[in-house]
Amino acid sequence: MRKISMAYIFCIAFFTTRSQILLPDRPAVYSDINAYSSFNKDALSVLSNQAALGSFKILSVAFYGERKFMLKDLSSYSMAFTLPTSSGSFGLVAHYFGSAGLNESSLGLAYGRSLGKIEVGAQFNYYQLRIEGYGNASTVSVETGIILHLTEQLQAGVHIFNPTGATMGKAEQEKLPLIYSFGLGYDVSDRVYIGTEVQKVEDQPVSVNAGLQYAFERKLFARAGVASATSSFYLGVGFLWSGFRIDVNASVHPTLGTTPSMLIAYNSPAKK
Amino acid sequence: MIRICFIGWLFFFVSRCLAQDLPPITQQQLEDVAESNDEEPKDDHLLQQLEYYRKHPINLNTATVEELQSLRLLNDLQINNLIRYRSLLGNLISIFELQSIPGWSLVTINRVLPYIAVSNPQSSKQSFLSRFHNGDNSLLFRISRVLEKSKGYDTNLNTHYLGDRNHLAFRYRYQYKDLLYFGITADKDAGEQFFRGAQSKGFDFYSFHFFARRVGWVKSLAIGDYTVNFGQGLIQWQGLAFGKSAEAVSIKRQSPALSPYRSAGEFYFNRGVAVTIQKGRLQSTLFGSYKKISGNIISDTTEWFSSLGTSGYYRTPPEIADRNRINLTSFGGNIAYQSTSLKLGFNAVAHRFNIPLQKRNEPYNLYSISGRNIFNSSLDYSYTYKNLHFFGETAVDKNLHSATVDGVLISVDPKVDLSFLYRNIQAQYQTLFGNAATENSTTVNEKGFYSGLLIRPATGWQLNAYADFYRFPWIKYLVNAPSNGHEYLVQLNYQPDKLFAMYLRFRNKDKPTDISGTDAIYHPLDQVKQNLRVHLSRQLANRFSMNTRLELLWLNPGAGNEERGFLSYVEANYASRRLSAGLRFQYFETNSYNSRIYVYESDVLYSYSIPAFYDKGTRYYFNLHYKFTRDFVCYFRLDQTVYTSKELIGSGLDEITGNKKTEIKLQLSYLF
Repeated sequence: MRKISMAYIFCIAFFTTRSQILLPDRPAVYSDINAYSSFNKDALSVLSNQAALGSFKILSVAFYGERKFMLKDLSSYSMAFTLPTSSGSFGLVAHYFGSAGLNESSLGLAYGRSLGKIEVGAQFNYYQLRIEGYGNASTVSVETGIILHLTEQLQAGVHIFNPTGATMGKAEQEKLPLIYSFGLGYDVSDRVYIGTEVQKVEDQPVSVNAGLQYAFERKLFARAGVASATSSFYLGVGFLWSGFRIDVNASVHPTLGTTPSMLIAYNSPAKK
Repeated sequence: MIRICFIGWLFFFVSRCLAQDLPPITQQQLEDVAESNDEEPKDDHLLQQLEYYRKHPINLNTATVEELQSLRLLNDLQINNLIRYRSLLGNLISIFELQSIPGWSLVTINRVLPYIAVSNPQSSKQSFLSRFHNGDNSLLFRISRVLEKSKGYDTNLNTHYLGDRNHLAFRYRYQYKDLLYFGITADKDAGEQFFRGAQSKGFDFYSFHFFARRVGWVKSLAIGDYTVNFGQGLIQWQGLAFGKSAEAVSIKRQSPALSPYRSAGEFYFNRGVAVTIQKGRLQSTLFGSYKKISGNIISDTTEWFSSLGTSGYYRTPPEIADRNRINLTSFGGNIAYQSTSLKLGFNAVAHRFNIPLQKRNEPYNLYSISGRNIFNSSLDYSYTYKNLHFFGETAVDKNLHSATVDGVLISVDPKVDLSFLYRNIQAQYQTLFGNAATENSTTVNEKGFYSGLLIRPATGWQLNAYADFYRFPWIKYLVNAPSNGHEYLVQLNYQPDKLFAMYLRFRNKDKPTDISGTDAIYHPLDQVKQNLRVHLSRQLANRFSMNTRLELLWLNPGAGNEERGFLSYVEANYASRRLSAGLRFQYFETNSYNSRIYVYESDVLYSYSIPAFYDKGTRYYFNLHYKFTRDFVCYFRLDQTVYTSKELIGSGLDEITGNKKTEIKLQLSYLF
């Protein structure tokens, strides 16, 4: 197997809840576990576990949009950007979730570097919650991650979001949850990747998420996975075209319905 | 090189030892069947078939797809790959070649090794009549008895068991390869009379079967008792069926349309004549059956019966009154086209009762079968394209309500297999003998999506996982509203060599059921059951082996009706040329029947023992198997369960006073 610059990103949280109130603002499910794959990373999945920036030495841009349960007011958009430097890589990510009446947005700056078999990374976020008629509240939070290369094909990692318990609001009542994730990624071959993670969001039940991606043709792939906390599963297809990667995905919740989503990413060619 | 040594050594070892046990995966699948049906399976055709293959291994160079499917140990991708390998590269020269067939890992080979062989195909243009001479004849007689007297045998009660306390079974079998079978089965349950009363002809249940395969155009011919399996089981499947199991990619049903019926269960079979004809790529099956079934007849201004008697117990006067009172006529057939990669079939079955069936007037029976006639038809298909195997069936009943099951097996990598299955069965769908891969025990009222995964990351390791999401659109018995649930299973197997095997299994299942409370109407609430199991087996010295299991169960953790279960056993086995013996000691403790744990036990040949354990107690059993001569074998089993804090065991007429229940079994078999 040719050695590729390995950016294993530990993607977390299929449904990370960033606040006590609202739904996750992060593209969940499939993009996250891709972080573990040596072949399937992109700017957005890398930023789920910033340690992966350590080996993602590529200039990359990604856009993501989803419409949760087909409701316009629950739409979520993300944009991510990575910039490699001689000592590690930087990343920038912006999320927006909601509608005019109620929305969450965040801006994050991340850095990750490789220390041999281990990679570490961290990200600082400025997070703002805006509710019409009530004004807005904001806070700064931090997240950090570490990834271990167990073998050439197997990676494991840990990521913690908001270990310091950032709060916001005038009386400091609203608290962003702490999210702890442990994940495992297995590159079966350059076509098949299986990833899984166990995630604990504060005050929520533990979720075991797993997904598989299969490149059935050289440039076409399909993926499927499940998330146990919400009893939902997802199916998606995607294709690669001269550096661009386009994914279309649908996640199905047994009671609340389908969430369609789309990811467009561009990875500039890897420098040798 | 090391691998070759392993296989050679394995083969040598396995062929020398007398161990009768089924492969662990089959044991697990049988446990899952017992757990989902809440009773042990009655169809032991699989046990008989595996025992026959142990003595007369399948020659992989001549094996047909159906012979390989009948092992129940190989999935369709593996079978297809073997057939293709054979046709491309010629016959296999030795067992060691199996490793080069895609999808055949060391674990797979270990499993099928006791039942297969590789040798040059004999040119066998034998006449049909010669099949009557070169086969195996066997006679089998079994008697078993519970030593403690249960309430049903107290003749002072108004309703009591009329017969004696022995369970008797008798079988005569003749089998020549998979080409000719005939024989007689006779069975009498404990409590049924013998040559008296309702069973004046001796045994309570008699069965005769005659079954021949590959006689010219005739692919199968059945006279007497036989089973019919069509497609994926939406309209007709009478044989043993494994559903969701730790072997996640074996979700597809596979079986030839006709099989001989050689078991003692009294309901799931046909009695009459059936034939499958094959000409080139087309094949057609026709069957007809007329038999008596039991049911409780209610006479009012008209006459009808309200439930089908499937237990086969005729011990008390009310049970005897229902015995064999209703005539069931069935007929049907199919036409199928089969090429190497495509199979298409059209199937139809029709049943008629002489007295109409009308189930109790409850909301959950709103859409149940009613009337005298039942009719189903379906289209089934399977198609292999490169590393994908699509399969499915779509069926309708006489009221044009539909059901569909569609799935795919994918071999994405030599190390990874995937399976997906979608099912959608309307609440109003009606079938009498349908049995598909569903969460419900009957084929009705279910929508679901199942995905299974099998990874072989390194030699000796295997990871199996499945996730199943299901929904029941209509109410069910004990579930007063539409409900949905899910089930996850992860199992990690490690078997570095034939000496040592272990697996770790975790399962989480949520299946809503009515929980009684203070409301006037019970409504369904989540019922979450989690099982964690560790199982180890080790071959010691030359003839001894041991295995042990630990199983923990959590029911509704964190809720008010939380329950827990614990079960652990240790077992030692000895096997030599003439004698094999086994001893197991087990301790179990669960809160109630709701947190029961099912365990597979070794029993005498052809007998299933998969009891459910609940409350608190210890259990042990002792098996002995002795070959007096090459042809005359004797089996003995003694088991006892001691409930440490009970004074009564069981309920109703099976109630035993005291805290012990002991059973002994003796079986003699003679081959000639």
